Amino acid sequence: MLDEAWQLSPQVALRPEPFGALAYHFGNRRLTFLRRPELVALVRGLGDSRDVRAALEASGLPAAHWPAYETALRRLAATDMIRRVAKEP
Amino acid sequence: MPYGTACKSSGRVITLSTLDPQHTELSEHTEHEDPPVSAEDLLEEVSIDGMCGVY
Repeated sequence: MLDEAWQLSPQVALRPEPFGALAYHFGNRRLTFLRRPELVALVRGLGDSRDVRAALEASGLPAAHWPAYETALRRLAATDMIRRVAKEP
Repeated sequence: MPYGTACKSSGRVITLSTLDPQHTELSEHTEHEDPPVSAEDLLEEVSIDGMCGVY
């Protein structure tokens, strides 16, 4: 996943909350609490980065925390909260 | 403990100054260590099916 480009699903709305954000998927009606502002910033920044690794580097998160954030992104991908960006030919 | 030794305990660093043993200063500061993070700390998935029909 680290070397792949991802972005927030167009069917997902992020609502800022004091703890981070609430993500709601209008298609599958799933609701997820993003419990850290750092994760919210990472998810929002995915679309502006060439891949997840670049988004993590830009986030300033300690490298020791990257595996947890990558796992969180995988879980968001499993529920279509984020989508893989198809590579251009 | 000899002068100049630094002790670290629970993220705190305590240092004894070696400049003047007669006027040893005890200083303390806190190191900012990043606590471990898990995916469970970052995300919470909620089922809202049970809320349907409440309103």
